[in-house]
Formats: sequence, structure tokens, C-alpha cells
Amino acid sequence: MALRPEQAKALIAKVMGTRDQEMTCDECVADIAEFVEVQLTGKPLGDALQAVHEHLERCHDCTDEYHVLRQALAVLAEEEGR
Amino acid sequence: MEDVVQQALMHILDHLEQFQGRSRFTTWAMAITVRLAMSALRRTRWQDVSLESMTAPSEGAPAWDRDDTTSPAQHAEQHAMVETLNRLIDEALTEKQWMALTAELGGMPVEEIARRMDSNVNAVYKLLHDARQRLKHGLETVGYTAEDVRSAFA
Repeated sequence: MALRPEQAKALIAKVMGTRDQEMTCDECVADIAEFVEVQLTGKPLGDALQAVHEHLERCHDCTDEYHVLRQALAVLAEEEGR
Repeated sequence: MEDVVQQALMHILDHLEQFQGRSRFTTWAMAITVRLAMSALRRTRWQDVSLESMTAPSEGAPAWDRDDTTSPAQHAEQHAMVETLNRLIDEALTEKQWMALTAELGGMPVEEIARRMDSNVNAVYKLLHDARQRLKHGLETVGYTAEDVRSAFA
């Protein structure tokens, strides 16, 4: 079992950034709404939401959903502002 | 699209007690809808891709060519780290962890990996987390730090 060079490069950085306790995707989903709203206000994240940020750094599925949600909220805010 | 909307409405109604008021209700509801919609898109996008095709082993040792931006010393360091990583993968990971890891590195969504393994997203995430922890422990045991990795692959 040997990784291709590009796989190895992607994995090794991810491995060294691994924490003992990491949020799961379900836990991230439970907090993502609050996370996006706090982000949009520009206020600092608390410890609980910092865990969401760290999860997004290593989970591309949840990151995709975060971007779509954030975009949808931006469109909604624009509509409400009209 | 209509199926997703209906599914989202049902899910929101079934899980109303989970809304804790830490965000606006509409944001919470939209997050659920986005998740279900993305899940449906991923299923369609990956429906014809097998786990085996994502985890097919390389034949022999993959070439590790130096690019012009990397010094010979840096390249040697990278090569040594990757050799160690490959050895640790053989020694420390289960077959299931190897399959999940390479599939994820290839871009397969965790949900799709879980579907093919007859498992669930959280269980696969924990499998991957355990794999990364084992590899991290192995790299640290031979003396590599996060800073070593950052500087080798900068």
C-alpha cells in the first residue's frame, strides 16, 4: 500500500494537524447555523464554534455545505434589504 | 429538487425540538436543507464510482520527482518523510482504514464512503480520525514534528 506523491503530500499535512478530540460531521451540522451567523457579524468565535472552524479545515464535505449556506444567507440578506 | 424540499420539510418538522435558538430559525432550517440537497448531489455525482477504483494500489514505488522550486535537501527530506509515512500505513492501518483514507484523498465524500462500507458518516469519520492519529503518533515517534513537515513541504 503506497501513496502517490500528491496523495502523500496532502495526507502528511493533514496527519500532523490531527487533534486528539475532533468534531464529527453531525456535531458540525448542529452548530453550523450559529457559526455562519457569527462569522457574518465578524464577531470572534467562542471555543465551541472554534471547533467548527477546525472541522471545516479538514472536512471538504462540510466546507462545501458551509459555503453554500453562507452564499444563500447573503442572497437572503440582500432580498430582505430591498 | 421537489423531493429534496419535501425531505427537508419533513426533517425540519421531525427535529423541531433540536432547534435551540442559537441562530435564527431560518438559518437552522436552511442548513438542514443545504445538507440534504448536497447529499443528493453527491449521490448522483459518485453513483458510478466504486470504492475499489479509488483505492487501487500504485504499481511499485511511485516516482517522486523534484520540481524546480524544491532544493535537493528539501526534496530528500520530503522523500524520507513520505517513505516513513508509507511504511507506517502498512504497519499501523487496517485495510478498511487504508480504503477510507485513499478514497477521501481522492475526493470521495465521506457519506459515499460510508454508503459503500455499509456504515454511517460519523463511524467513517472516526475511522479516518483514528487512522490519522496512528500515523501522527508513528511520525512523532521517529522524531518528526509538525514544524518539520511544514518546512519540508513549504
